[in-house]
Amino acid sequence: MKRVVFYLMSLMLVTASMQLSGQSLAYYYDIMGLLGLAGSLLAAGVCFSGRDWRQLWQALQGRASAPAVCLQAARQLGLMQRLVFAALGLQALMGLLSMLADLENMATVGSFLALLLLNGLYALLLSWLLVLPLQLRLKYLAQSGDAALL
Amino acid sequence: MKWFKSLVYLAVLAGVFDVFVRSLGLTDGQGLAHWAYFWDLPSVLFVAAGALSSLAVFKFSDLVFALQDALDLSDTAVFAGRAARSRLVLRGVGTLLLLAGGSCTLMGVVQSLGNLDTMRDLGAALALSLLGLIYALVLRYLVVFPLEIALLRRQYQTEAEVLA
Repeated sequence: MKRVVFYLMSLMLVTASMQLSGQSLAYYYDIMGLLGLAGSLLAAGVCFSGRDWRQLWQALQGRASAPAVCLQAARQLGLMQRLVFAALGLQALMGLLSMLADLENMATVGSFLALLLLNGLYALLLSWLLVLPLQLRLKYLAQSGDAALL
Repeated sequence: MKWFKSLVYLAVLAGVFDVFVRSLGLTDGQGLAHWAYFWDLPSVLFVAAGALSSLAVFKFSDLVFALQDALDLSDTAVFAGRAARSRLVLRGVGTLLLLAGGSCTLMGVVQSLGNLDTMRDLGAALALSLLGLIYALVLRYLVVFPLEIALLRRQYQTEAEVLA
């Protein structure tokens, strides 16, 4: 429960920081980036078997019987993160190619670059707010050798 | 005494940084006023959120234990049992800080590039957006990383004593 409170507090700090700098959430919405994210998760679905997902789910719920299972789940999360980075990086590269091919319209270069960078932002935010905390938690549980703590 | 020496090194480092900043030409104000160039509250809050998110992963007591272990303030027998965990905690905090700083910078760059109509302000906006990454790097490599190294050195010493 305490962990959820700290998580929410850090999200509130991010929101406060955005409000202080006068940013609006509308700048950070890009359907293509979100589709790339969904695509990379689908690719993860292809890469791992049903047993891997079950183990990951059990480890996240604290029902893993052995520290090795927690470590395996942490490794799976790391691989998923790499898939996300690869998919969004590829998408950003494709966007860059299409932008360079259409350079006559210089007025839109800035907003186009911002859209490309959004892919990196999605990947970083996903990593910071979701994947890495879960991964660290699983490693921590594996080291303390007590999966029931989660 | 060992930590006093580290504090002296940090003070010397701050002095070198001060000279570096002055040599960049950021010396509009009197005295230390040029340090104000490196102050941005939203970026500070963002990086603070990164530090706070580590409390969503680890217990507060784990952070305190890791700090005690790194500063050689804990009992050797206790340290031997939790050295690996303390290393994981410090490395995790450092990585979370870096990811928060990177996210802050990317958000700022996206915002700046989205407002390209005002080209005159682009440089200042991009410079401001880099501050989040600078804070995160400073915290990671001037605070957390030395602690990690101190922890590692102590771990090796403890293992060597056990082997001897």
